Amino acid sequence: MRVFRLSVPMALVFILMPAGVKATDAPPVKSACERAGYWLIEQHNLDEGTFGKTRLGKEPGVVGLVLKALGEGPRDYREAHGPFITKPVKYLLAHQKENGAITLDGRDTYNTALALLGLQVQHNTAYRVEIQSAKDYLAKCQAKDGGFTYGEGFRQGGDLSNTLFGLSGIKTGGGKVDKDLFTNALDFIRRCQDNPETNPEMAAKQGPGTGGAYYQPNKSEAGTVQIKRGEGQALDLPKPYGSMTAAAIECYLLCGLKADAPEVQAALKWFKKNFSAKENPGAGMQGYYYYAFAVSRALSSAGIKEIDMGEGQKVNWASALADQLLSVQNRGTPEEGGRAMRGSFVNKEPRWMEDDPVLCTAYALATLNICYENLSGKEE
Amino acid sequence: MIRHTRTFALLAALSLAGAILQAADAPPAKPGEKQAAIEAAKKAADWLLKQANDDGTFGKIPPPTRKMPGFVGLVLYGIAKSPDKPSVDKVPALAKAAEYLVAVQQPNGAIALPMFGAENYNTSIAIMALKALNNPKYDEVLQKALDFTLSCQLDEKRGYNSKEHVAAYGAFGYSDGKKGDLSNTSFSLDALKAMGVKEDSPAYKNALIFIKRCQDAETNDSKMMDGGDNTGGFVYLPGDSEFGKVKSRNGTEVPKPYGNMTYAGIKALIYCGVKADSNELKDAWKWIKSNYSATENPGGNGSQGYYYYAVAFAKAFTASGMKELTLPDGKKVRWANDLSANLAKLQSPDGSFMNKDQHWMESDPILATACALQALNLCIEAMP
Repeated sequence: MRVFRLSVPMALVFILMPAGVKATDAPPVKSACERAGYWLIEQHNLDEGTFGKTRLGKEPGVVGLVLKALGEGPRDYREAHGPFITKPVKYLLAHQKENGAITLDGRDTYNTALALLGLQVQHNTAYRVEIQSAKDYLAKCQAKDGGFTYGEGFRQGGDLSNTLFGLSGIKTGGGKVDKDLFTNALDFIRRCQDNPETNPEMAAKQGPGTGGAYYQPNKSEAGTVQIKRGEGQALDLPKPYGSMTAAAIECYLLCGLKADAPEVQAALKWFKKNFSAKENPGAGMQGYYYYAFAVSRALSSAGIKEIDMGEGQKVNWASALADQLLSVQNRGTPEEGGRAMRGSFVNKEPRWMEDDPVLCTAYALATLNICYENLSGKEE
Repeated sequence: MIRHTRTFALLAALSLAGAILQAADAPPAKPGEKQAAIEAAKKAADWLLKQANDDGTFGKIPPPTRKMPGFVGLVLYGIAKSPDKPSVDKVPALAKAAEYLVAVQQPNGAIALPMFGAENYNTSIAIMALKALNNPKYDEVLQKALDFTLSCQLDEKRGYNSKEHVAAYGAFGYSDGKKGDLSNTSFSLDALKAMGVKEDSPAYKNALIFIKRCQDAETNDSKMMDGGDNTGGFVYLPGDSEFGKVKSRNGTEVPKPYGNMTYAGIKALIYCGVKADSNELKDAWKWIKSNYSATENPGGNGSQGYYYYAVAFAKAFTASGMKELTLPDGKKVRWANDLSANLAKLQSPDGSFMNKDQHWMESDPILATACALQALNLCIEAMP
């Protein structure tokens, strides 16, 4: 009867689906969201409020990311839907420290920011004080260079990834923020981009101006690119890659720049040349799920529907990403770990903890939610 | 000339009045209609029997789908209740289907295939089917299955409470997991009712809390449906409709009620002991009267889920004991005649049914025919 209605039986559709069916339609994406959501819900540890069996699933950031993904999907799972939301919410609140951080030990910026997003998505005014105190903590994680670091009191400079999460947390739900915070952050973000026009360091080095971004000023997690400087001379420059270029776009927008700002346009230019739905361009499969989430957020925030790849090729990024995610979503076959894994995602490339299916599935679901909104015409 | 005109006008007025008068009564039931429904049901049952496989399943869909106990159960239930009431002892295909359901019972009582999930959905339907065979040899299997279904209800034993979890508490879902919905709650209540679970059982009391929260009505205390027009219609779960949202008169976007769930909601309310003069049922019938259709799922999407709808429709009317319904324009309808006539129209010459809309697997003729047969069986019972 309504057998195809929910995640478990919906898996059948995909077993039976003729090859070549595209996810350009919203309904298959909704079904994929349901399967991913269902899998995450099944990973909930009722006694604790955490997800999965690994240490990572106890990190408030991962709990928060799961809540955000579940709460913003086509099913809007909030506290009313069950203890798989109310218990994690209590878990997050219980792990807030006196300084406002929501964390176990380490990666305080990530943890606090994502926990904050997980709380905010409940739209429950009861947590106003806790949310504000977490935001206040995040503001203290901004380093002298304008970027955000792993937590308060870190001596080294900021990085674009912590900056993305720090700013996302601070901006969520509105409220007053010191203007200098954004001004300083903008200085930092510009220094992480190969755009001589707005990055004096790159101008001095006569960077090629691809528009791509990297982890820290003059440092990329994806290695270097060699630029030839005349006869026998070469210069190593940080190699831009997809996840950080997407992070740069989102950070610029969070700081108040508009999509037509030269910084944002330069980064979009990089994607016109390098966008991929199948890998984190410039870094292969490393950080693919982080990338998928970051790039879908960035392009959606920038109001982009299609990327013009040149030579008449236009890519509907939401459709392309959804297609790819649907094709790699666990179908629950014996080879994939059986029914218990159906609906989940994992990266064979373990860097940045993406060998953890709870983390990958949460990123993938958050991405699919954005794709679904864009494909179904629902505005974010 | 003038006189003629007047006479003509008078005649016209009289015939118009006659038409109105006639409309106020349901059209007289034609003696052939029940017979036609019986024939359609017999043809459907015969066709289903011909699709029986040696392993107790039906049809040609590749396994594992074909092996879902819920599918086997729907077919078995439809045939067992069909006009000839064929006995398991005399029809080997039925005996095999029943044995299949018994054989797939899991240690925890679920009649389901572990690789599939949807344990409670399958178990609830299997209970209906085995119970319909009226054979004490299935009693033990049935009791274990019922215990399993009861264990699936989202209540305190699963960490749910009625105050916090207003979109889930009291519900049953597809699996023994963490999510519930009105459709599966309705199936599980079928099973509870068939098994004679006592009316004062907390299972009904808690299910009722959930059911009321799925209704667009003033009696809904969940706040998940606030801003609606109190149409009386039901949705899939509080705050969530399969057919998206609709703007209420005050401009709020609210989940869109639809026929499948409104009929499921009516039957569920009745099974939970809610009386006909309650606000909940009065509101629900108000929605049905404004949206009455025997040919499509109102509030839905054309023919999507029509066979599910036909069953929900027939079950709700049967549970209410109602034979006729008066629509807002004063017209009276006989639901069983309307539904069986439409089903007869949709039936293929070989006796089978299928939905061109593939949602919810209704493009599978086994599933569609089993549902159509179940609906026809209920129509026949209700026809004089």
